[in-house]
Amino acid sequence: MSKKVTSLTDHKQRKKPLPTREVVRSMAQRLKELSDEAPPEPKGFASGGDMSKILQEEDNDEDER
Amino acid sequence: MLATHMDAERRYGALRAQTLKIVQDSAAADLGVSVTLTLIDSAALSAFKRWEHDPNRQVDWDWIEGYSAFKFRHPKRFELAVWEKNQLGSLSLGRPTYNGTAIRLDFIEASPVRESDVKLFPVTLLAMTAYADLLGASELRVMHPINATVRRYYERHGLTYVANGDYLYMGIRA
Repeated sequence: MSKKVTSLTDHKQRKKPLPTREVVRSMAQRLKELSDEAPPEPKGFASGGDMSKILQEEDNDEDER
Repeated sequence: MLATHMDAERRYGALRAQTLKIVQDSAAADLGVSVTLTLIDSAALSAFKRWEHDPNRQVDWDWIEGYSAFKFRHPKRFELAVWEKNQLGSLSLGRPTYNGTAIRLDFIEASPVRESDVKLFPVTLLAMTAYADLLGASELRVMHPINATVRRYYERHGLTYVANGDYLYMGIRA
């Protein structure tokens, strides 16, 4: 039985990851559309818990939802 | 400080600088927002003091002490100060998740005294996107929105809320 060989052409056609600038540009376009439709930004908005408490936590967050 | 910690600080510091450079251009050109982006430096912490005791603040975080401790603990951290016309608009701190698949935003606070209606949250998401991509992560997380209004505002930017964990997430690629 012959072994399948990946040709040089196949190799060249593999999808390359986008440069970071392209990923950012694409996200900016996405965000602009959403942001234009969103309500005004809540004044002094914030996210996060108790800063002093979280700083003492270990890195134990899970990547699984 | 260990040599490995110093090395990580140097390497990730270069990525943080690269992030600012990329997003500074894109914020104006693609997002249409005219802001200046910096790391959380002495100027940012000094500017924070101007609203530290403002009665309209939603949180009582001490960014000076908090940033110092966070910086020491997390050399891979994400950090951002957004300025608008020389006025500090917001401060943000985050880090990669344990497995490195996402960048989590642990703290963000917008100035309670700014009068501009320019939206700073999308700029922060854009900076997180750049940093995530440079680190090979594919997801953004925003931890613990302080109330339902803020959570809904985040959801309008494409983030999905996860009640079990009290955070929102989105992929960096459409």
